[in-house]
Amino acid sequence: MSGAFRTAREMADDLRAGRTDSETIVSESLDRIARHDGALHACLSVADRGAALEAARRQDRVRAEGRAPSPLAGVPILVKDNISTRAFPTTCGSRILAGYRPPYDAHVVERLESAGLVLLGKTNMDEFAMGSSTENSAFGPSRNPWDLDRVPGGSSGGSTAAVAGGLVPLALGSDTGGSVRQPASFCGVAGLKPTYGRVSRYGLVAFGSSLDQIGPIARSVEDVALLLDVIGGRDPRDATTAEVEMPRHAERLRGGGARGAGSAAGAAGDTLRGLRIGLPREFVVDGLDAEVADAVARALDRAREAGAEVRDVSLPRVAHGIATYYIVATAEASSNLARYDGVKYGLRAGGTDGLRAMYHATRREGFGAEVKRRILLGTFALSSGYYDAYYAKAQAVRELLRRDFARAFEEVDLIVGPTAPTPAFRLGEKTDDPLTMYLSDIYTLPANLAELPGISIPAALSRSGLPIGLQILARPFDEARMLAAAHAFESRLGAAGAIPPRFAESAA
Amino acid sequence: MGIDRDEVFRVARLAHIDLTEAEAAALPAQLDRIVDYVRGLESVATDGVRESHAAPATPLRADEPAPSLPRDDVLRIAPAHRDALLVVPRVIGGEVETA
Repeated sequence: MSGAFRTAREMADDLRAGRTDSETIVSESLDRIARHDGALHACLSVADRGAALEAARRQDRVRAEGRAPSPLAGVPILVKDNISTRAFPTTCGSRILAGYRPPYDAHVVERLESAGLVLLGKTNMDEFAMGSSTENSAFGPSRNPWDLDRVPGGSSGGSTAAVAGGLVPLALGSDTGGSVRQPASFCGVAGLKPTYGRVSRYGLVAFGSSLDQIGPIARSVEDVALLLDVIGGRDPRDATTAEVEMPRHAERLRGGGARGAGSAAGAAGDTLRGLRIGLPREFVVDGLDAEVADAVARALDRAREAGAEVRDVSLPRVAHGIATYYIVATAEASSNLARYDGVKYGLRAGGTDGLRAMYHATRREGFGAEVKRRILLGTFALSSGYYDAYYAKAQAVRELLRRDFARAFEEVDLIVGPTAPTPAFRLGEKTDDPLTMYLSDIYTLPANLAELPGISIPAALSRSGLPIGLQILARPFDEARMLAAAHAFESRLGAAGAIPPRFAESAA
Repeated sequence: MGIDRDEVFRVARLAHIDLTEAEAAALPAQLDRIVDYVRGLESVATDGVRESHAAPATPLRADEPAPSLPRDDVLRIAPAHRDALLVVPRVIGGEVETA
């Protein structure tokens, strides 16, 4: 495998063995950003070269002293632009925060720094993470490395495009209704949404507070596990982080658990043997692309061959997932986004008379169409006379959906299905029709509503050469089992690590 | 009962957002279609359903004072400030809140 498309683990091994240094890796990464980001538009800000190389040399020095703070020390990373960073603007893809520079770092950014990762910049996204294509970014869309006429998915599309295009081996995204998993599926990379409460949101700009989680994006399941181990665990500054055991996921994948050493496929066979995998009946819907359905069926065949037992399960309320989500998420957004008022930070509209007129004009100028649509929908759902019919109703259906999953997880260990109903669609294909755009999240948002962990891994390429993702869901805080299975699927499907053709020749 | 133009303006006022002419023209039909879709929830029986959560409990911290962000760092990012105060357009003597 060529240099730019090495996994983070391979880079870490090269660094540990002294075959390369962080300065070289970071320099190559910056070169690739300079060369390819014009086409991809994955980044909204990029580190100053001198500062980034100095940070890399610092990691090289501490490594030379035998004090590398983590296996990933010296490896470059990009972070979604709704995660607060002192060193870079944090715009959330919105005009209302253009140029805003937070006075503090998010918890996960502090963790990256302690682990010695080198932060190379911030990635493009749908404005305030509201969207499934990055077309709602105020700064222009990102492009899919597999086909530049297609969207990378969203809202963390900048992060997944950057990883798929070989700009960096790792990135962070955020997932409120599928915003890590759906773009991971569209770009042919691995993306994890942790259990609600696994990763601190301190410094993540809030969208839907009962749904938001930060998640790792990488070219392999092992890399996802390594990055989860860096960012996960209790943080007193986010009261919703749970006091539960935080396993060392990456170590478990490396030989822990599987019987004997053996080949990758042998170890994979052990992980899947005896595993009970549920396939929800309700995941077969109108609009499910035949090639996506085929890819999932073939993945399940591989699992059966490896000794897993595949069972039908039923999640009756999944059919109402989209409706439930678009009430709960917009209600929370309407409340969270009330803070953008032109007073404390961000844009202030000029030329207005009085405070109230300033609020109204600032929010008219600062927010894009989809954000306004969702604020209005959420305000409507919470407003007097409608609260019980919409918000309270949606919360109750959400609870029933949670119980559907709990019941299914009494019969199976994992639930497997498509990540998205189709491969990546074309830019502009769905922008005129918000409801159709929402339907592309049909398989991902149930995990947010039920607070479950979920991962998307590459399952196959379509006949036209577009990635198709496989989604695996697990019980709350059972990321370990989910990652072990994802790792086993990855080695049996052979779809991970594929390089988009137009980036292959430049991969060295 | 659908979402018409008046309803959109009522909600926009509550959300403190002025709508452009183009938005005022497009939003009623878009929101009406979305609300019509989410009304499908009415078919789900939910009597007596109470919420539960994945995490065992929300851990609480001790109620002890701790330093917040340095004041100057916070003032620096405000659109306008004077000394230790945020400056905003005139509040009193302006238009009356009616929503």
